[in-house]
Amino acid sequence: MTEKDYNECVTNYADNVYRFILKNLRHEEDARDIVQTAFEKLWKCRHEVDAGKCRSYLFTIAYHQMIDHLRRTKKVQLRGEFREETRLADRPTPNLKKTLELALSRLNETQRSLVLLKDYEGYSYQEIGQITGLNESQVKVYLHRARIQLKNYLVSLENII
Amino acid sequence: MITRHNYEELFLLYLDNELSPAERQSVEVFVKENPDLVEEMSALQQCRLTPDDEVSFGNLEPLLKDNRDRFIVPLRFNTMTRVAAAAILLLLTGLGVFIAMKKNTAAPFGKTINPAVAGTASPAVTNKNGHAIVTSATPGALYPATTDTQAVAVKADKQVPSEAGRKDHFPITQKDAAAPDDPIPDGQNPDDRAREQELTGTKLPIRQEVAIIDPIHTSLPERIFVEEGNIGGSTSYVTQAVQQDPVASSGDDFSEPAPAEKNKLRGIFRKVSRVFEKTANRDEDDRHAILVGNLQIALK
Repeated sequence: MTEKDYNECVTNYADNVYRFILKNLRHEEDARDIVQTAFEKLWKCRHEVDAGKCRSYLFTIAYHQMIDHLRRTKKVQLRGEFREETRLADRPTPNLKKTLELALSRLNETQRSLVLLKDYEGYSYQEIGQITGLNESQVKVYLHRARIQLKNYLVSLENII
Repeated sequence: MITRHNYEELFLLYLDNELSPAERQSVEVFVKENPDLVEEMSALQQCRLTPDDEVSFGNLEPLLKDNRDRFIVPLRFNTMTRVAAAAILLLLTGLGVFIAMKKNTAAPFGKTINPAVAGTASPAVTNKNGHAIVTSATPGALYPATTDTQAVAVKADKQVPSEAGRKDHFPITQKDAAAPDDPIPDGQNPDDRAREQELTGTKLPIRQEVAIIDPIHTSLPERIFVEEGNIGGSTSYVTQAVQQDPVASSGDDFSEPAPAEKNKLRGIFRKVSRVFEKTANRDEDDRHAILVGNLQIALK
């Protein structure tokens, strides 16, 4: 991959990676740091990466960086999530989008990543498995469970409302 | 085949676009046939997330690698250029040194010094007639300090003494070596003889005690006697040649001007030899007698 290819990768996929990380972490500065780290690693390994596979390579690096970050800050985020979740439970659901974001936050990091990779980036089960390190069957099962949970959460809220 | 037992999994695969076109069509047909499952399909479809285009990284400059306004010179090309420049510089330097050395080896006044003559102790020089010449013009390094030298033209091929003669330092006559081709009159000055030979181009052996440098045994001077030859006439060719102006032989690179001291010595010898010629060594009447002053001694 040449320098020109790298710059094209930055232009085409920087927002996508940032969005993915931001939805998972729900913290802009942390998401920005992870995106910068991911692109730095891609630059260092540019001679080993084909230009056509830079997107999946980029998401793979970003995902693992995010998992490491989440494991380091899990305790703090967990408490934060409880508080945020409590505040949101008292408020009426403004729209479906925000409800889904709320439902998404209730998933674990693996399920959440799978849903985002599937819905945001349109990766196949096989590609998601390569990024996350899971096999295709695991991706299928985890993703189905995540969707069922999201559906049940929406239905229960609708029932409450 | 889709049934009411496995429809949920197929619905999810349908939503994830993981079904083939035929499978997708079968799911759509199943939903139409089972209207109560339409609400469940709708709920699953609402759980699909859509990308939020409003969310972006922002300024991408910190991530980009700037390659504008930069001309990268390949290392190979740069190295090759350096190597080529160094090779050209070395070649020019060597050429200049070679030219300078060649100029320094040239002799003064434009003459080239014969390395075979200068600095060596062998008379390895011959004139155009093939005679080995040991002249007073030869550099002094050729002659040992104790050797009396004279300008003489010697037949190189007939005057090389034998090994016995060299070792015992006995005088060797020309008869021992070979018969002379052209006899010369008695009392002829060898120096005059040398000039005479150069002028006439004839081979005139002489009987003269001379010291030449043995090309092999350079430490000891060699003395040989050269057979005299009779060329007839009362006046020798040498005497005539001496009276004439010396003519420098052309094309002889080894006939260089003699030092002044040797010229004086040569002149003295010349005069002495003339006196002897006139008063002692003449045999005009074939009497084989020696005339000393007014006294003639007959020889038998």
